[in-house]
Formats: sequence, structure tokens, C-alpha cells
Amino acid sequence: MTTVSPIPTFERQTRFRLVHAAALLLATLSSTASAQDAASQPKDPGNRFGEYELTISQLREPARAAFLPGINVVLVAEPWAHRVSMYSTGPIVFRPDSAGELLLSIGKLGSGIGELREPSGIALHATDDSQMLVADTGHHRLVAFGPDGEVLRTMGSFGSELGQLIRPTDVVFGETKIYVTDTGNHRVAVFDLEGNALTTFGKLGSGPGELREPAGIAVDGEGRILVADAANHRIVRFTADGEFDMAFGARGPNPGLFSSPVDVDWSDGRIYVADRGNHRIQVFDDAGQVLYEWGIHVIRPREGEGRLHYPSGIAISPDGAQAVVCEAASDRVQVFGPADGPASKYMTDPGLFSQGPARHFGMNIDASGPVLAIAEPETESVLIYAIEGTTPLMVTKLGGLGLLADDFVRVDDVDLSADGREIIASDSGARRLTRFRLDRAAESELRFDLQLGRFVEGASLDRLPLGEYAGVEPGAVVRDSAGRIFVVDLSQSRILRFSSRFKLERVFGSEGSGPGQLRSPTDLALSADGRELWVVDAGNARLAVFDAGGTFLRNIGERAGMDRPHGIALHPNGSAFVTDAGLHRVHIFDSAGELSGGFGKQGLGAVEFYKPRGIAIDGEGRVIVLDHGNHRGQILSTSGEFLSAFGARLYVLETRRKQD
Amino acid sequence: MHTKLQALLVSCLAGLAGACALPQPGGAVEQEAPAGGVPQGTEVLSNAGRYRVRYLPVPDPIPSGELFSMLVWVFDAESGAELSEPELVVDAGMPHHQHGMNIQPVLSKMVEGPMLVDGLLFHMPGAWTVTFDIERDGVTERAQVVLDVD
Repeated sequence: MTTVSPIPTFERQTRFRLVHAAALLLATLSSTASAQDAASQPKDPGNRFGEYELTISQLREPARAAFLPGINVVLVAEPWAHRVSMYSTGPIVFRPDSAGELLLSIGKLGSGIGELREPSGIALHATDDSQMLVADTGHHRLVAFGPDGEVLRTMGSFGSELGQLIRPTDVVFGETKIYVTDTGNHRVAVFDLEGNALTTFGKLGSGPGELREPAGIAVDGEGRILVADAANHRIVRFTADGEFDMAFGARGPNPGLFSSPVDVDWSDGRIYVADRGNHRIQVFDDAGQVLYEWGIHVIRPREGEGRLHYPSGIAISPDGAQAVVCEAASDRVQVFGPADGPASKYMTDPGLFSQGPARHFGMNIDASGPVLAIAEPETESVLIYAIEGTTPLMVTKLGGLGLLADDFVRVDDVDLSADGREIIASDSGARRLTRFRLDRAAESELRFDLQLGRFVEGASLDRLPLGEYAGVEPGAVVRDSAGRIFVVDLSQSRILRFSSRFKLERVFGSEGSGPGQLRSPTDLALSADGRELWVVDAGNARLAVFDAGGTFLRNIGERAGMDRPHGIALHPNGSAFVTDAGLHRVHIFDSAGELSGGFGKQGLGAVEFYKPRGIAIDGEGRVIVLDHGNHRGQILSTSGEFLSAFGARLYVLETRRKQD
Repeated sequence: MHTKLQALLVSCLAGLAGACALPQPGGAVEQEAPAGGVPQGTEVLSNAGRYRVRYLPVPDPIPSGELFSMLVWVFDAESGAELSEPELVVDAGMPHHQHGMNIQPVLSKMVEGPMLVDGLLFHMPGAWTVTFDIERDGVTERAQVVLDVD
């Protein structure tokens, strides 16, 4: 295995004026050698990818990549390092041993010229390298960098009008146009090469030409636009003018089906899809017929050497010799070359999943009394556990993928009532809030029963009379003792408060970094007296506190060194427990809002985490952490002592045995 | 089949006219509708209490493995008023077997009468859960009942 870490010195530097010049130099120096290589090893059009070549590790959730023309150099968007980095994927002329090395980085966190926030997509023109485009997702814009690294222009601002964008995630050059997946607006935005907004196509939906959370984008050899329609689990193709051409795929594990395809590339008549939830790359012909796949599913977290875990990006080198796969969940990029064996050598054994999916436990949870509720994205369901004993036992499942009233499209968060009998779940995919009830007799022990949960009602946020606030994408949700529902609107980084009967009462917060403003809030919690609403303001790496009426009170933790806070649980004594997916840790804030401690570090052992997400405190004061990246839950004391772990993987049992 | 069914339904409707007038809101989850000397249907309160749903399988009892129909009335639980043309979805399944019906029922509104759910089929004996999802102003609420089929 070849694992190469980046050069820290370069990592911290911003070399705007050098990046493109260096790229051009590298391209010039390498072009002769590349031509010679191509001549000595003629490309076989029947080749399959599959053979593992290289890992570039210690990236920060690399989202997508793009090759520079003609050389073994790839640009990688690292959203949570707020930069784009350039790596070699093989020998380059003046540095034959440079494979996997960080060459340059561009960008740092900020809102100034050339500064980036969560960049997640990159585009280079196939023949004209006079500009590089970056989807500056957190700033809701594109940034065009010139040949010597200067910022040429920015395109877009937050909003839904022509020329505005909401969380654009990928960008690609057409022959004379720029196409952007305007993810938050569920459409593709089109600009000319000078950055003038031309038009948009696609709209929210599941019909022909409609999109739901479009992610990756590519252009094929005929100038047609391929879009990874992630939440519809399909690939959609449009003409260069934005007319719907065709779509293929649906949700499922079999060949030709997808689970959240988040990126697409095209090369030499083949369509490559990062099939994120199925942990594989699928390859199709131009008619949408599946040709082959590669990717062996990781079982033990962060296994490498060709094994894949939630691939988030795919890029094929211009000469067709290499494929780069980004794996945001594992903080790495893997480079693959041509297959050297049968297709089965590079595929997950289908029997592995014959007994159902492994629980990924995330992203959010809640606990109340003897009940633990987990939003489970693998099956789009809410899992209900009894947590009276040492180890939680699953007793029933609510929902499941579908469009019926009690189904979910993308379940995001759950909230349990104080008595543990009623559940509110938010579904950003179907844009609904759903209420379930657990039919159990008072004080009776929870037992496995598939009929334990009863769908009570669901509110469609597209059909409620919300007036100017229509278009809500519900994320985190919490209720107060009066049954009022507070829910994050993911599309606008704001909070909505509904009555218990779904009447809109308040809207507060807005996109931004000022007082009372939020960026991508991920979780909510109410103080014990119900007077304060704590919001995990993930994009600003802080906590924001409002009163129940929506008046902003204060920010917390701005200087606590949090990296990617995600989940929050408030202890009855007023302290706050906050997971940090970037630092693999739980932070503790005292009732005054001061950082008072914490526990955890990166790893697979007890009190070790990998990208922890949801967190809850149960009726006995135990802290339950969804150790999302390790596919397990951990139960700890408030001081961070390990008590138990749960999950389907064998290493979870190992952890428990070691502790025993 | 359809002609026979319509004739049967007309007969049922005639008998039910009195029973369908004003169901009383109450705490009982499920109760028989007021007697009228003919098949009356059964009432169930929706899960959040907004509606009363009265249903009448045709034929009753429901045969296993044969197509049957159902008449459905929906009332506002608070006012007692019948919803003239509710947005209604009727489905059924066997949760313990983790399957539904293998057929898609069709809903239609009868003139001056209840909703007609046609093309229901319980393809095996056992406990079937029938769900009635009623949508109004963006909120869908469910009423449900478990029916044992021999």
C-alpha cells in the first residue's frame, strides 16, 4: 500500500498566484512524456478500472476531483479544509517519486477575494486552461481563478432568482457555457464563460427533467449534461440547451441501481458514477446500460487498498489511464488503474448484504425514558431501541423508503416526547414532518414488536400554507413541553416554529455569520425549562442560543476550537454535550457556556470516535453518542467513561469485550 | 361483477342512510355505528383525533383470497360534519409478515354517498391492518383498524 501524507508547509499556504502557473509548467514538462507513455501503452477501449494504485490520505473530506489536462495531476476539493489542493497521481517529469504528493493548495476559510467556504466542486476546461472554476458551496457562488492564480470573477449569490445559487456543489465547462448543480434550488444554473447568468433548467421533483438534490455534473462527448440526481437515485441527462434527454437508475443495490449517486464523470463513451450508498463506482454506456462496477465495501472502518467507503467523487484522467475516487467519509482519495482480473475480483460479494444492510447509525438521535430513537439513513427509517439494560435492543422500526404517508425519502432527525411515546421525524427529501406513536401499555417493558409504532400524521411542508416561507427543507427538529415544534430549514439556514398542529408561528435566523445568523445548522436542543433553544451552528463552528420566541440571545463556543460541531444534548444541570465530527470528540460546555471539558479522540476503541454525529442523554444520565464513522453507538458516563457499545459489526463486540 | 356490486352497495346505502347522519365524537378508538337493522359499518377515530372514519366491507365478512370493496365515510370529529369528498388513501397490509396487498385499490366517490374503495384483496388469512389516510391543508392523518380474515 502506498500512503502519502501531504506536506504540511504547503497545506497552510495560499499560493493564488502560483497555482495555475505551476500547473501550466507541469503540463508543458509532462506533455512529451505522456505522449510517449501513450504510444508505448496503447489504450484498450475495452479496459475496465479496478486495480488499486495509490492512496492520498489525511485529506479533509475530499468531495470531488478534476484532472489537469495531460499530466498526472489532480485537483481535489476539500470542503472542510476550505481549499482546493493539487496532488500528483503518478510520476511527473521532474519528480519521478512524487506520486501522491501535495503540490499546491489554493484557498482558506474566509469571505474575502479568493477565500473559500466549503468548496466542493472543481472544473477545468478540456482544452482552454485559462480559468479554473470552483463551486464555493458555503458562499453560494462560483469562483473563477485565472492562469496565474488571480480571481477573475465570482458568479452567483445566495438566493433563487436567475444568477443566484443555494449551495452549489459541482460545476463543469460546456463548449461555450458553464453548468452548475444549484443543489439547494434543485436545478442546474447556466452561465456564459464571462460569468453572465443565462438560464436554469430542472426543478424540484421526480418526474422527467426534475431533480432532487442534484450533486455531481459532467459533460459528455456530444455536449450533453449529465447530472447525479442524488435524492432521486438516478442519473439525468439533458441536452446542452437544457432539454431533458433521458434518465436511468432507481434506488437499490443491484447493478444499474443507485443509493445516493453524488458524482458523475464521462470519458470515452462511458459514464462513471460515484454510487455513494452502495460503496462502488458504476460504469455505463451512453445509452445508460450498465457495463461494470468496481469497489469492495469496507467492513472495518477505513480499510483501504481498493476498498471503498461512501465514494463521493469520481474523476477519470484525460488519457483514460487512471480513475480517482474521493471518499469524504474516510478523508482520502484512492487512485485506480486498469483491472487485472475478472470483474468479481473488484466487487463486493453480493452475499455480504443478503441479511440486510449494516447499521450506520446516523445522523441524529434522541432518547427519552427507556427509549432511544435513531434516524437511520441506510434504510430511511427510524429505529427504536429499548435502552433499559446495558446494551440497547432494537424493538421496532418506523418508516422505510417510499412516498406513502408513513415512508421517508430522506430521514434527517427525530425527537422523542418526554414520555418516550411519541416521535416526530423530519424528512428533508419528502419535505415532511411525521408523527408516530408507540403503542405500549404504561410501564410495560419494551419488547420486539413490528406493530409497536403507529403513524399518526404527517405535515407536508410543500402543502402547508406557509406563504412567503414556502420551500422549507426540514432538518433538525425538537419539541417543547407544549408540543410546539422547532425545525431547521436547511435551504435557508433558519428556524421555524410550528404549533403542535403544524401551524406556522415564528421564523427566525438567516444565512450568515452575524449575531442571530446561521450557516448549515445541524441540531437543536431545548433547555430543561424550555426557555432557550440551542442551535448547532455547524458552518460557523459555534452554538447559537435563542429564546423560545426566536429572539437571539448569544453565541457560545466561538473560541472553543470546535471544528465541525454536529449534535447537541443538554443535560438537566444545564451543561451541553456537543459532538465534533472534525475532531472526533465530544465537547462539554458548562451552564455558563464555557468549554469545561470533553472526551474522545480518533480511533476505533472505547471512547474513540470517527466523525461522531447524533448525541443524546437518556433518563439515567448516560450519554449516547452515534459514532457514525465507526458504524456503532457508544454509551458513556457524563465524564466520558465507557459503559457499552452497540452495533452490528464484530469489532463492536471486540470493544465491549475488552472493556469487560 | 361491477353491476352486482353496485346493486349491493345501493342496498347498503339505503339501509345506512340514517346511520350515517351524525356520528358522535368520543374517546373510543373503535365502535359500531348506530344500529339501523342492516349492515352499518364500523367507526374508528383517527390517530390524532381529527376525524372519524366509518367503513363497511362488501361483502362482510371479508373473504380471503377474493376481491372485495369497502364503503368509507369520513367525518370531522369535532363538528361531526361529513367530509363530502375527502382526500383519502386506503391501503392494507400485514405488518407481522411485512407485506401489503398485491393489488392497488381504486377509490371513487359515489353520488350523494360514501367513498367507494374497489379492488381490495386480502390474499391470505390472518390479521390485516387497513389504513385510511386523510389529507387536509397539507396534513395527512391516519385512521387504522386491524381486521382478522379467516
